[in-house]
Amino acid sequence: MILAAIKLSENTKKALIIFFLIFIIIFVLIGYISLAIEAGMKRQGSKADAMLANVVKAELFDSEKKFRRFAIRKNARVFYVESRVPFLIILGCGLAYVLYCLFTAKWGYNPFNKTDGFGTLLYEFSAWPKEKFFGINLISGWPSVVTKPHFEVSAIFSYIIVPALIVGVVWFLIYVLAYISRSIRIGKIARSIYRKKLVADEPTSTSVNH
Amino acid sequence: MLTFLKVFGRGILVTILLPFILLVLALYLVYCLLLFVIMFFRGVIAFFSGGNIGSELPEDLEAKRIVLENEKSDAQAKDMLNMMYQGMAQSMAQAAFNQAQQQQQPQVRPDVIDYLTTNENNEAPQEITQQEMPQGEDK
Repeated sequence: MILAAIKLSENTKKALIIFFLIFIIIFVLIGYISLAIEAGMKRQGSKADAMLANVVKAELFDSEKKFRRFAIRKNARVFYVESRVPFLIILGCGLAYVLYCLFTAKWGYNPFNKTDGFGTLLYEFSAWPKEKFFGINLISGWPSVVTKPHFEVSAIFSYIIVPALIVGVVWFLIYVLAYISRSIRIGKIARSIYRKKLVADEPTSTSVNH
Repeated sequence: MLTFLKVFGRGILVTILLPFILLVLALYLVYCLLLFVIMFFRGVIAFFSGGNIGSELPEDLEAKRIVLENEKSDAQAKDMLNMMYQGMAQSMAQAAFNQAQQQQQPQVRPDVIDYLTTNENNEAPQEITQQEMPQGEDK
């Protein structure tokens, strides 16, 4: 009844429908991305099984504490060996930035800026147009393009450094996630091997024989 | 439809918990950076003392040795069992064959054989009737 009393214009109705569709699509996308990340973490965690298979088969450790201590040490080593390459890339980018600032005397240079940085390769948009719907400012259309991507000779350094840095950081983050996944899996393996659960059938109050 | 709703609900849950997830991730990132730096210095020390931080731990080598030994002894036990079973199968097959051979040949009583082969008058052996045949033990 309240909805029927509110008179909405055609444009408002269209805008509301589009807004709700975008709202649903965004959350569904986030849900699928989280599912993909979870599947990837499970796959990474299963590598802990291969890491600890021999030790479990040989029954080398007689307590959960010793097993966990060994597994944490092993996990740290595997993480270090894996993440040497992305760490070197990040370190290399940092070193290159320091040398660039040294040679050009542009200390405090921002490689992401929009005049002589990586921002010259990206679109720049104006603010989102908003309209009031029932007292709330909601997005009502698409923003306009202020600057289009263009090539700047003075920004060549940032065109090399920024992608390399992004690759290095994302790669390192993947290995951090892998470390977390293996740690979770180690906890599960330790609990399943060293914690035995005996399930006894207890007599119920309705049982005949006491 | 149910799957779609589940994913949508999961998306909302992840969005609400995102700040906490990012906080945990950030803490782990800092921890992993520190861990990397510590492992780097341990690697340098290991390098100069003739070792390698990427190599297997002593517990790994011990575990491999135990697993190999167990596999060898399992293989040896399997071989012995196989030989035993083969020997048993052969002797059982031989016994069955011998029994079959015996069943094919008619069994003649030794006293009948004796009677047939010995003849005091050196006469041709006469036809023996059922009544004349010496009665032995029925086996």
